[in-house]
Amino acid sequence: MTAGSAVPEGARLGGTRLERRSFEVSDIGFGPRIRLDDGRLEMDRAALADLVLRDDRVTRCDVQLVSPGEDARIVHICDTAEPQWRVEGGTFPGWISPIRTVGEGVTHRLAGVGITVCCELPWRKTGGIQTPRENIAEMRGPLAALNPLSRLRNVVLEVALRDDLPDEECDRAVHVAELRVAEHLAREATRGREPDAVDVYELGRADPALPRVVYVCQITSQGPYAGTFYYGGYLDRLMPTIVHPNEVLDGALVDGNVAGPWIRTPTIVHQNNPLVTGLYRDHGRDLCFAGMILLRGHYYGMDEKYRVAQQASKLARWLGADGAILTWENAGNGIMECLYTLQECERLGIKTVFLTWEHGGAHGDDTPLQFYVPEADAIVSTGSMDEPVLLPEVARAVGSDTVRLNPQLGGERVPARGPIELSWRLELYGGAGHVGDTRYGRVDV
Amino acid sequence: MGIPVAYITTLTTLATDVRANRIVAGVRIPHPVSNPAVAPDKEIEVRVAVAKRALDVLTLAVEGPTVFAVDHPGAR
Repeated sequence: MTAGSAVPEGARLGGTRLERRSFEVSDIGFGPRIRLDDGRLEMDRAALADLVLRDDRVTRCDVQLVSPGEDARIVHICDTAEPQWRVEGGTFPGWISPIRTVGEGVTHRLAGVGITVCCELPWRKTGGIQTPRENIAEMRGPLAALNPLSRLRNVVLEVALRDDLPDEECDRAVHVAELRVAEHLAREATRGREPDAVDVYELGRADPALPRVVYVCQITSQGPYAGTFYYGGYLDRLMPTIVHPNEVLDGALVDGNVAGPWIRTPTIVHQNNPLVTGLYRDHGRDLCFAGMILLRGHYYGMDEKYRVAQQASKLARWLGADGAILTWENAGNGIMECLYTLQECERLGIKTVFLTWEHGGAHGDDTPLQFYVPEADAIVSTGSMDEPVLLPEVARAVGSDTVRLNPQLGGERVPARGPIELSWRLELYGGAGHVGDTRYGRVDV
Repeated sequence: MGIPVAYITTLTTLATDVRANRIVAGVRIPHPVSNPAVAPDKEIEVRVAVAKRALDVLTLAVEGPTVFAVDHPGAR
């Protein structure tokens, strides 16, 4: 049997329909209550803080607003979510709603808004891969284009937590704050209102002659501060699995990888994954979007890496893939699972494209990848990590007055307004994520 | 003729890329010469097996990068 010649009926993902109603926001401000009027979103500052403070793990919450082009920088970022509200309930399952499959039904979103939670997470275990790093987003200057926040109207929650919480609780508390506000704003601003745009996501039947393309999405998850949540739980031990792309758009994945700012995937990027929306756009015209495979990389045993690669490539085959797009998140040996999966896909006759960020050294002339396989011969770069950068002084710092750098040297505090010298780009938020969203240039042909 | 080297590492492909001659396949990435999943009294056996393999291969003639496995059930 050759790939794609016979697709088992059970592998079809049709019948799941998500209607996303978008409410465009072009301006934000504080006001007496939540309202959305002619693209301007207003909210009650104290009421939002009170909503966050209902969680007794949170000791302080202040709400700040930051808009594109401001002479500002946001620091201490834990994550960013897009405000969304599932009309029939179940928004952000496993967090503020019971665990039920999302990706079906009607969801309202505030387009152009990000809810960012900022917190100084404890440094109990410094130097390891679970160290919460400084996460910095520039709102102005050439580096601004390399983070997702510079294009958004930002509602920033400056949060402090009780100091007796274990790391897992800190990790959960910041996300509960973020997701609660994201749901509340979307609900109160859009309930009963007509949207500016409606997008329907459904994998209907496509011409069987079209090539079937699978998206193989490798996410990192290594516990507190370096994790990704799937329906509210760390996906650390997840065997590769099939997910419906609608689940990802609809809030099933939440990002907690504060340990890898430059190469992480903020939740809002999962919610708007440009590969998913792009494959949807092409579905039925140029290709058949045959599904999405979710897996975790960075296992420590070679046997585990091989097992994951076998499982992921097998699922691609069962989905009838003729082609696969592979992405991987985070750093280090996590690249190996993705490339072994790619190698195995090619062996099964599935053509592959690989998206990756690069090292390359300070001058871009060093080895770009820590590992490679000869089968990876169609590679898209999502950016490089190693160039040093100087962040200029700005008028306003949001999130904290200071930044913490160099945890491996015991930590060093620098004024958040800058200037800040970085020896590489790791501390910049969301610059070279696995889908290259900040540099994504889809061309319609 | 320089000093023979045995390189114990789990990332054998990287060792091959940098042209290491004698590569001993380590156990796990953060624990190349041991296996924390094995009971402590048996774990010493894993360590000895890896170390002995490294010493053994030092005496072997090789033509370019060669990967050697460790023959012990705990060293997988």
